[in-house]
Amino acid sequence: MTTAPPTSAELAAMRRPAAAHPLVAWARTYQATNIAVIFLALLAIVVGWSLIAPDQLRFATAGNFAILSQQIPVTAIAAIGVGILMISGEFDISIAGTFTLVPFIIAITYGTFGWALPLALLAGLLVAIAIGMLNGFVVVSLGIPSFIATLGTMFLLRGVVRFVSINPKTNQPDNIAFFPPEAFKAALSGNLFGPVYAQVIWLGVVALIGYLLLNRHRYGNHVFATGGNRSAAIAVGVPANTVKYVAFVICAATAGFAGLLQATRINQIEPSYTLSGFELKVIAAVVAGGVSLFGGRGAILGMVLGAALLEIVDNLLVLLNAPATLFQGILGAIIIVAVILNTVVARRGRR
Amino acid sequence: MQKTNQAWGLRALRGIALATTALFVFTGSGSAQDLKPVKVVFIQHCCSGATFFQPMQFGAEEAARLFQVDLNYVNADGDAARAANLIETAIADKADAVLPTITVPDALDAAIQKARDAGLVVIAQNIDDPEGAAGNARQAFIGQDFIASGNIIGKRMVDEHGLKEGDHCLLPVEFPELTYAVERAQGVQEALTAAGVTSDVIGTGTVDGEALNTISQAILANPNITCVIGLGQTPTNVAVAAAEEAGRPGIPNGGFDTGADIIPHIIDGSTTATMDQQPFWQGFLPVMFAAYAVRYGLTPPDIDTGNNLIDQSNADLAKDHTGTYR
Amino acid sequence: MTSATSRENSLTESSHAHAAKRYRQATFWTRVRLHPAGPVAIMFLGLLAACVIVGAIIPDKFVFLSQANLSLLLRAIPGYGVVALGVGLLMISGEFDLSVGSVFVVAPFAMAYAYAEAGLALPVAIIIAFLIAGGIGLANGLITLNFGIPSFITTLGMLFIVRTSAPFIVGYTRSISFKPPPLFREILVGSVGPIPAQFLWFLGLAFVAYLLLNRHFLGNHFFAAGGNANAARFAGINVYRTKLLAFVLCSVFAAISGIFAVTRLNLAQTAPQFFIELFAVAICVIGGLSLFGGRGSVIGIVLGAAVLQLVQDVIILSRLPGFYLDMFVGVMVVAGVVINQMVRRKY
Repeated sequence: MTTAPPTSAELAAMRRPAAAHPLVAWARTYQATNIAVIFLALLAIVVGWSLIAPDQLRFATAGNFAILSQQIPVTAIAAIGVGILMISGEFDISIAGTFTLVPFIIAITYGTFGWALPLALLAGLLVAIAIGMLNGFVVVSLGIPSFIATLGTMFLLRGVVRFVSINPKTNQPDNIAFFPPEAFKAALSGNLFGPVYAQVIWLGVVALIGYLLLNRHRYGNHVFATGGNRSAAIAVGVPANTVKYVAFVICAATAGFAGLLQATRINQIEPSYTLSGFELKVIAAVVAGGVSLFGGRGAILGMVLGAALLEIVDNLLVLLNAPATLFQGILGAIIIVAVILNTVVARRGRR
Repeated sequence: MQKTNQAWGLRALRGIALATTALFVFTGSGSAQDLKPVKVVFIQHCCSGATFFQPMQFGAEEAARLFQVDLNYVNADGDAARAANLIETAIADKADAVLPTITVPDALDAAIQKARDAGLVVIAQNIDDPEGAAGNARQAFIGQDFIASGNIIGKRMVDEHGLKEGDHCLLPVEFPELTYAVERAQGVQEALTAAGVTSDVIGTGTVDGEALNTISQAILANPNITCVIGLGQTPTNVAVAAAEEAGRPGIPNGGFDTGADIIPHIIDGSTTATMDQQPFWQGFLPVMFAAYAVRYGLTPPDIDTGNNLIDQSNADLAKDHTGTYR
Repeated sequence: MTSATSRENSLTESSHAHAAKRYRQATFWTRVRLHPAGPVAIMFLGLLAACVIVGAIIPDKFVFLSQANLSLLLRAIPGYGVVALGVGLLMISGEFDLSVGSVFVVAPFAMAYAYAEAGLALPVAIIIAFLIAGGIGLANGLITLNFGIPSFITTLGMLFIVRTSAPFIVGYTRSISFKPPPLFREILVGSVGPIPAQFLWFLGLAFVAYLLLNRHFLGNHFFAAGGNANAARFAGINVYRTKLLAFVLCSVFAAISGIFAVTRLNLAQTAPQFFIELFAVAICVIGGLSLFGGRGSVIGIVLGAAVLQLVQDVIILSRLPGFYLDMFVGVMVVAGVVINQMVRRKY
């Protein structure tokens, strides 16, 4: 007689290895783990380098953080909207148009027509909702793939922006100035203390609302269900069409709000912004942040960190004197690498 | 055939480490002679890769070489907020001078003021505030008026081809809402309206073949089009071929910029003239003045870089240096 | 026995007759609608008919029927059309390629550089262009398939990388005059009577793509890989190699289209040209291809390209404000896809 046969407990342990610490298990399935790790690693490297050799890289300075605290929230807020939409399974590449048109309408009604500010903001909100509903209608009711539908909306919005921005004096498209009351400007984009600006607070607000909506509200469940498996979702009674309509409206509203933040900061809205490639940057940020292109998976933190990552990399390229020609190429490479890391590491985690 | 995901993941991480190291290499570019390099951030307002801005970058880099300037040439991608960010990055990065383009009247006022308060030299290039020196705290402007240049080419086309009431000009441009397109269109249309000539702007995009198709079809559709004035490099370049393909070769055409085939067309006479806004000067001079302002406190002057209307009489030099000096 | 069989026969006969009656109801029109290219064919013919009729009635206001216009149309269609052929083949295999916009610019530029500046022979220069395009396609495929990331992201990143690396490698944004031997130019972009050579080349390439897709085992593999990759793998198809080949083909088609463009203009530039990839995808979708793969036809792509150019032609000829040209075209693209869906759904 040699060793005793394994007990049933040992057999069970062999079949199913001991569960890891619950926190680790959660982290393995949490969508934003990878981007958080990448982001923190990058931040650690860059801040460390900047503190050790401040003459080479002035990243960790108050002035630089001021820039980031004004720019990251704008991209991140738009990313939250696009991210929620992507979780529900659809794209929106018309957000650059929304980002430009909504503040434009607000500026025109407030500045040129002389409406009261709340009324002007309401007009902007209605425009954002209308754009979201239009996108939703074409995608949900007409059944057009969202990529194509929002491509059409993008061209449509470009034309509308061109039309709306025509200066009657010169008969040409023109930038419009936006000078809201000081209190409003301070509330939306004012300097709070040191390098922290109000935009960060607004990002916190939108992110919190997004988080609660996605993770603590029935609608969030519906979004994940619709994106994950539409037919199954419909089978269990999820109103998939309504979910998508709402998601499109959320996406347009966040894009419009981000545009408003930017407009109060620089006091101007340019019609040419529709051509800037904003939508691709936001989609790249969302995908780098761990949201699946096929829908059904994603986390708010991931969207925010993805946007932050792209903006920080951009900032770094400027600080490091990288050749201007290569900026877009380097960003493209970073996007691919981020998505690779997300996918590869996620697969390891799931094994 | 497929490696394990783990191996690929490790490879990817190695690649990132390599890339990060490569980024280190880009730090700094100034040469050390006897002068301490002046750190200048040049903010081109638009896009990287566009042919119009190539001589501007060339000029800035040449001045950087000649005057020991550590040049950081960046693009604002048509976004005023990004331009403001870049100005503030220049401040944070302890640059000595920042050279922005004032594409929108008020957007950069705060950032420029901050730059001046921090002691940076600020010289605007290419496009100025409509309010001029009163609009913001920039110390000088080097560039010229897009609208004035539009006037000049418009007037030249009217004079040379005797355009009058009843004539109709096509003004193709890549994207009608971009700043350069708007101001050039305004300038050209002012000159044309003064002669009673009507005109139409048409968007062609940047794909050369498609622009060619679009302009040909527009000429075909409008028999009363008697001239074509391209407002950007793409349409000006394809105007001659478009007229031929539309079955109306020899329509008077002219336009802006010097890239591609435009100069050869001028030399052989098929294009009347093109407007050279001398982007080389708009890159070279600001960098030079910034270097001297930082080192010796010389106040930078305003400079109108002039409108160089290139026609058959002066096209030869342009031909050899297209894309670099011209 | 006879009675039994005769009763069977009468049963089967009546059920045959019944079935035959129902089968006859699957009319020609139903079969057209079900074919992937059916709706776009209907759209194309409808649009063409409308243009011809209006052009005949008011030839002065709507110059559709002039030789110049028809020639122009035929010359314009291959512009996005050849790119769409490649993108379509890849889309049928279930993947995207957004980097064609940069390959379209960079590969012919490399050819022009090799020919005009480095003085290499023209065939060598062309091969260099194909090698570069193939290399980019291979990179797209390897990254997408080995790492398992969506091709949308890989090719989006590649679009930016390739777009910026060309001017960087050459030193600065450049344009190169491309003056090939006149015979070469004639063959590629000349005219055969009133028909532009590019259009004939386009039809030829489309025919090759058709043979590949419908008469070659690779075509089956494309459809299988796009339709259901797992099932394809179980059926013994090497999905990895199939998709890799599709990526390479897609980039090569884009390079071919770029070479035509560069030869037509006698000019190659490094300056980026925007939206080519988006219009190529739009043509494929109008042409009945599914964005998820597994469905489509070459004739659909050809007709889709024709519809896109026809729509643009109509907009310009009707003298709608050129200021809003891209808006009109974009909206019409979506309208085209909507009509496509509606026609298909009616069954």
